[in-house]
Amino acid sequence: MKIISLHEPDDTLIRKALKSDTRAEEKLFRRYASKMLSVCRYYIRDTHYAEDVMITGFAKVFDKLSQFRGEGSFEGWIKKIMIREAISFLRGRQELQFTEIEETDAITECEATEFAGAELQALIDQLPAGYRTVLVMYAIEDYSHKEIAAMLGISESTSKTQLFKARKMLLQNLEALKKNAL
Amino acid sequence: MKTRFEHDLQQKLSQREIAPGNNAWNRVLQQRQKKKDRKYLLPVLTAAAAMLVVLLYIFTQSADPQPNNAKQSIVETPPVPQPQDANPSTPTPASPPERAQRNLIIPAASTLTKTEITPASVIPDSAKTAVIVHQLPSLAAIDTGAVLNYDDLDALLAKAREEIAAGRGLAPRTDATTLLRDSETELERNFRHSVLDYLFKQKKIKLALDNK
Repeated sequence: MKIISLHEPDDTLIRKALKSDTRAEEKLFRRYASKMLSVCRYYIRDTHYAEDVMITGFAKVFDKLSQFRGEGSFEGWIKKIMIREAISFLRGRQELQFTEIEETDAITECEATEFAGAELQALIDQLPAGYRTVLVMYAIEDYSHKEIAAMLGISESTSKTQLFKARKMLLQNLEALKKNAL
Repeated sequence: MKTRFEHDLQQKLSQREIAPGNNAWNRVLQQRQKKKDRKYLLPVLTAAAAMLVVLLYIFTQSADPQPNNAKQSIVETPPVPQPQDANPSTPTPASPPERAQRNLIIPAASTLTKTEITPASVIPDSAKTAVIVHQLPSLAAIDTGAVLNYDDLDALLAKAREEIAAGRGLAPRTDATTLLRDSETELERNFRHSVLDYLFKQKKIKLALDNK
């Protein structure tokens, strides 16, 4: 009886992909493409551009696969490449602008559980690229302000103020959405 | 610190997946292929560019006026009578092609200064030879019309070459600033003439109108 393995672990596929096995590469791509497109979409409003970035990111993933040391998860490694690629895309379009903000008003808490993922994404899309990038990196990707500052080439305080402003604007938009729903 | 809202946001968005287009994988392959092509094309283009540079260098070297110089120097070499009683022990004189080659080789030491290889430098070369001939008492026989042998001629040429190599006997280098100044003066003069001509013409017309 022949046993056909339906799910090959990442390690096996990576090993095969390193030997230029295109099928293994395709399997890895199909496994992570949807997830990575979603990651690119956090940063880039337009889905088509986000897909372009994702494709460029995957081309880099396979070209630099030998550099993956297996220290973290493969998904995490791909995600980092995608984030860098998305930031580079935004920089190329000169969309990333960071301004220092003096305001320090308290922000009222709000729940996001009542909204669907697409709605939340739409809310994030309304933010300027600079706010959006810092918010996504901090709130969704769990980067620290130090890491964000290093990746975006800004100061930690700028990262903090961007996050503050992003939170404020996001909650305002959320309130407006709630009111419209009622 | 993360707010509760951000925790919710993370939870909701991290579950989200967006399916890419059907041809997404093909696009990845295409992009990688393009990159590979570029990767292979770069060394080829570099090699081609290097070859082009080398060819251009060779071409410019071959188009250098130096050979003309050598050729001219051969033409201008005074005709040497055939030795009547050539000594067999003396080394055989160089044949004309060999001589031309020697003429090519020796100025090659001074090819670093391109300004020296000008048609102007050819004439003083022969003129200088004549001067040297007059100055060399040992070769005074040339003036008297005595028969020259190849040794005399070779000594004469060697002396002339030394003089040339030492930078003497060559036309002075062209001073770019002086040349430019001369051109500007010439242009200015021409311009002034043109303006004056034009003005005189205008004056004539005006006078004609006045007379009318």
